[in-house]
Amino acid sequence: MPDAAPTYKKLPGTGSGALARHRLWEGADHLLVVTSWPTGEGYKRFFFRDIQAIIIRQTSRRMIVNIVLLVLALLSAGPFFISQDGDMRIGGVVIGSFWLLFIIINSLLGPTCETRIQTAVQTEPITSLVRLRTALKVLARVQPPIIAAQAEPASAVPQT
Amino acid sequence: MKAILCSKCQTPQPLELLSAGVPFNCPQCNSSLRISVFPAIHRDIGPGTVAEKAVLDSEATCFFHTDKKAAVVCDDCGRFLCTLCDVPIGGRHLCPKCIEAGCEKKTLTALETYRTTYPNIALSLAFFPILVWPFTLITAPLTVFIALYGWRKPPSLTGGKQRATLIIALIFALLQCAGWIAIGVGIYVANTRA
Repeated sequence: MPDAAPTYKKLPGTGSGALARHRLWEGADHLLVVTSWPTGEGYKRFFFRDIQAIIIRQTSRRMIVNIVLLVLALLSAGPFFISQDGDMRIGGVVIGSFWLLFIIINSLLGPTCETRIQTAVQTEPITSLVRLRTALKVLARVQPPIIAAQAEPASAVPQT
Repeated sequence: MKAILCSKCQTPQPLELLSAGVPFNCPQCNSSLRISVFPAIHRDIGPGTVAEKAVLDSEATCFFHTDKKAAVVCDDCGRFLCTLCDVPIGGRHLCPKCIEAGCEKKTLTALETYRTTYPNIALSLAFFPILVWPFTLITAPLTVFIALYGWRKPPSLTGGKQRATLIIALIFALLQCAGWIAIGVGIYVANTRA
């Protein structure tokens, strides 16, 4: 007999890989990490009663990405400014603005971080939580159900 | 208690910093850390339960271990199970055979680790080959097949508009098929007139 399909609530944050997209969902008694590929979805579950710690480490990825984007902006727009022609310079400004837009967006998204969930048997990275603001938002949301699940007496805790 | 390590330098973090619940820097690599610790960190993984031996002939015994006392009944097949064979999943007590069958038939959602998303495949096949349009001669009928095949397959575990996506892919693929039929008919008519 099939078991009842669980219901999930989407949590903020999306992580992207080469072909995969990562999202975090909140279930009744666990967190579900969904990795989506073009052909399917992979699932990893972290039960609230098993989570020992959530570790958030601030990274310098935002600064690195901004530096890379700035270098790209200089490489692509720089040659236009060598010319004395006004139209060419306008072209340089347009191309430079294109990269500048990405730098602004990346800066506005806030500091980057790396998030991990530790259980008794593993410490797994949560690739959907790469921005500190989002990670803290998710942490504030999942902390109460984790504490509530771990406050239950051991005999009442269902085992999976 | 298991140590909590810095995710950069793998140095165990001092407890007094963790209990404060505020951001701090790793004493080793100076990374900025925010660690939320939960009561489960103090819980050890206890030893597994030991099945009780059946002493009397009148006692119900486990289906898989005839010398062990039955403790529960499998909620799926009704077999008597000892505490060793009882696997609680999603509030139900199941035997190893039912779990095996459930994994094979994909009826135990609590144990599923992968699902094929037919709507995504159908939609990708319906739209992306347009970039190299002659490929649609093959991909359009393939999309129709995948959309029909995936129609009754379970949707994503997290929900989503499975049927709506399949309908869009199906309509688009059928239009492509119609286009190819029109081209074929046109070529045939032109050849017969010539």
